[in-house]
Parts: sequence; structure tokens; C-alpha cells
Amino acid sequence: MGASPVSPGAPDASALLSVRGLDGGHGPIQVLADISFDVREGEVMAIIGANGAGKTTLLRILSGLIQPMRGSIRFAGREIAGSSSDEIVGLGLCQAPEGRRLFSGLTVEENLRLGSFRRRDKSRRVVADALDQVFAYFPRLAERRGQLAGTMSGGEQQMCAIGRALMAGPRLLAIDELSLGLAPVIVEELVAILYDIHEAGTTVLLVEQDVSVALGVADRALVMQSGKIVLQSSPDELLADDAIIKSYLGG
Amino acid sequence: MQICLQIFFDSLLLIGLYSIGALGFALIWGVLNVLNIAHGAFIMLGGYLTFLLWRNGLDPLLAIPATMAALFAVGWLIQRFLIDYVVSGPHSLGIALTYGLNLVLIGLALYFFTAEYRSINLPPYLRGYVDIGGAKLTYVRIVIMLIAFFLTACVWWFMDRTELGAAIRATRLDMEAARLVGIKVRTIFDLTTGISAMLAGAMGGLIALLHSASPAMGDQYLLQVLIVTVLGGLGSIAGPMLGALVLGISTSLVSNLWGATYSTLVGATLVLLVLVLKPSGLRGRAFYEA
Repeated sequence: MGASPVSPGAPDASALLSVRGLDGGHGPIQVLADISFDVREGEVMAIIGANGAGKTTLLRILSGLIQPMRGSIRFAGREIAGSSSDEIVGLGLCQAPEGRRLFSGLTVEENLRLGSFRRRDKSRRVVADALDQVFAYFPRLAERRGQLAGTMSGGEQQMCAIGRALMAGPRLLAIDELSLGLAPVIVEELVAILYDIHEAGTTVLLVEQDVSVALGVADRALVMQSGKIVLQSSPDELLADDAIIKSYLGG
Repeated sequence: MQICLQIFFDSLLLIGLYSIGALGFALIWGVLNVLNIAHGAFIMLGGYLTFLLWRNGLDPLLAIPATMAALFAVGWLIQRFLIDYVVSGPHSLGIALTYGLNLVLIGLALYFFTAEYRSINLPPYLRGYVDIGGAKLTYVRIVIMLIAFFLTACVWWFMDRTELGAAIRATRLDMEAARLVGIKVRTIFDLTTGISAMLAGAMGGLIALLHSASPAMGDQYLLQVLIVTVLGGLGSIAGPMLGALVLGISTSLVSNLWGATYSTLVGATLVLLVLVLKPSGLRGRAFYEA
């Protein structure tokens, strides 16, 4: 597979997430045009692109926060374009949104427990196991479980946001801007944990402005520009091609 | 000594009543961002419903939970079919809608019950009183206090200790993040309004037991509830309770020392002082805290 322009086709039945011909935006303003891509079970897919390319809008549509104007989104064998957020979360597509968006006046543990809100089996044991799993990934959250989420550092808040999404037991974990505003040391730590989460069997969709972070973890990457997907490739090929980096990513 | 005790008991009663009224009012304001003027009508409906249930043979103390259940349903439906349309709109729209709703419900009460004061004849077991150091404390007042404090404790427990309570607080803090964890925000709005109306209904029912039900009772107590909310600030359970404490104590102080005529001045004076000296309320904090 080379660094080729993307050509849409029929939805890929084997893919976990299959987007075809998606148009969308905020109110009457169209941001995304004809977006098509697949995320396969078990991979880490990165979406990169400059500020304003429409990455966050895409994730907001996938999570059902805004309704798409046109197109199809198939997730886990079901059409979810037009579904409500709670249905989408219930199917296992969970998001750690841009800016973390923690419930700042709630404790860390309350934030995490709310992540399990849509679980079908909410027995004490299942939620406790999920909580233990999150604390195993992020021991610092265990130390701060009684602290108000809004009083933690940016890195800890990002951990809490990812942990909250994991509490739903997601099949696809979408992370919007993992590294934004965080020190490089913290980003490295988060990336290492993201590896572990992926190893444990969660498919990851990572939206990133920082090309080196994104391409460091991803199996495949999409490049977005002005609301379109302009390239789809393996990270090695993208990194090998200086012209691509310069023209699309401003790097 | 005797007057101190009398003031103390009067305060407790008012604190209890104001707490449940203001907690409900502050819930809708905090979560839906709607200033619900119809809260007054909910109080009034609670009063009349308790009166009606009693007149049809139900024990007045059993009429209170029945009234609360009915008002929960009324609140849920009014949110789902009326308030829901203005939740995301400007403040003035919410005020206009609930003000209108308040007028309609008061009008209906006038039509069906006339302006007459309707009071409940207490059953024998509520009629006596105990004498504590010369201060008379009737059984009905004791029971009302206990019910009001029990309900306040229930609200605190529900909001602080249950998942649904946490979901309500989460929705108040960040509606979109609430959606992202799978919370149905609209259902949370329905539930919040239901709980709020239920508490207003309890307040109205207890007032009907204590005094009487009348079409004007809603507006009269809405004013007290507003004062309590302004005093305590929003965004917490402790806020309205602190407001209730301040208004309850100062009202019973003034009415016992100088007579009930002056007690209506107390709330307005306190609000003026707070608005001038500490506009965010006595406690006003940005975060929700239990």
C-alpha cells in the first residue's frame, strides 16, 4: 500500500468502523466533505492534520454529538449515522474528547464511575474490575481518586479522561488530541500506556496535531486537510516523504 | 428562656420547609439553567392535592407521599412537553414560559377551589402539644420538621451517593461530556424537574397541614424560596440549606420579638444586603459540592 489518494468504495464489512461519503459540519456550515475510511479491529489508526482540518468535527460526528449531513457510518456491524450519543457509547465507541472535558467539580472516582454509565452489566464486580484496570494503567489516578478532577494537572486530567472512556469497556477508543498542552515527558508516558491499552485488545483511533506522536504509535494514518482526507498510508511511508510532511502538516 | 426556645423551634420548622422548597428550585436552575417561576404553582398544587386526598378520606400524613409521587409525574411531564422547548434558549424565554404556566395553574386553582383558604382537620394523634420550658411545640409541627429534614437528607444522599445523582451533577457541569459517557441529557432534565416538583409538592402539602391551601400560597412561598436561593447561592446542596438557615432564624427572631408584620421585611432586607455586599451569595462557589 503506497501513499495514495483515498478512493471510496463499498463499506468494508470486516472493519470495526467503516465511514463512507460523510459530509458534516456545524449547523449550516459544512466542514467535512466526502470522508471515507475504515478502522480495522485491533489496529491503532491515527488521524493527523493541521489545526482546523476538521479532525475534531469528525470525532464529534462519530460520537453522535452532531448529526452528519450525508453519508454512512457503520460501527460493529450497525449503522450509527443519526444515532444518539448514548446509543453509540452503548455499542462501544467511546471518546476522550479534546480539552479532556472532565466533570471538574466531581471527584476522580466519580468521573471514572460515570464512564460505566451505559454498561449493560453494572454489577458491583464488573465496575470494580474496570476501575482496578484503569488504576493499573494509571496508578496516579488511584492516589487521587478522592480529589476533585478539576484540580489535577493537565497530564493527570488526560489520564482521567482516557480512564473514563475505558470504564465503558470500549471496542473503539477515540482520543482527541492526546498531547495537546502537555509536557513531552507526560506525552511519552501516555503513549506508553496507550500501547498497553492497545495490547490488551482495544482498537484505538487517535486524533493528533503532533505528527511525531501520532506516527510513533499508529499502524496506519490518515492525513486530513480542509475537511477532506488527502492521504492514507503507513506511518513509515509518510515519514519517509518530506514533501508530504511539508505540504500537508506544516512540519 | 421561653422566647429563646420558641424562636429556636420556629426556626427549625421554617428551615426545614425552606430547605426542601429551595433545593428543588435550585436543582432546576442549576441543571436546566431555567428560573422556574412555576415552582410556586407546584407548591400550590401540592397543597391542594394533599387537601383533596385528605377530604377523600386519606390520612394527611399518607397524603404527603402520594402528593409527592403525583407532583413528580407532573414535573416530569411539564419538562418533557413544555420546558424542554426553552432549555437551550435565552433565559427570558424560560422565565416567560414558567411565569405563564404559573398564572394558568393559579387561575385553574381559583376556578376549581375559589380563593377560599382550605384547611385540613388534623387527626387526633397530631393534635396535642408538648411543653418544653414554656415553649409550646405542637405534634404537627414536630412531624413536619421531621419530614422536612428527612427529605433534605434523602436529597443529599441521592445527589451525593447514587449514580443517578452523580449523572445529574455531571450534566450540570458539562452537558456535552455527559453525552459522551452515554448519559441521556433529556432524561436527566425530566428527572431533575420531577424531583424538583416533588419537593415543591412536599413543601405545599406540609404547609397545607400546618396552615391551609390557597391559590396565593404558591407565590407567597416562591418569594421565600427565591430569597433563600439568592442568599445561599447555587451549585450545591449546602447553599440552599445555608440560605434556609439564615432566613429561617431571622424570620422567627423578628416575628417573635416584634411581631409577624415585620417578618416579611426580613427576607427582602437580607437579599438587598447580600446583593450589595456579596453578589455571588453567602457561599456561592463555581463548583458543585455536596
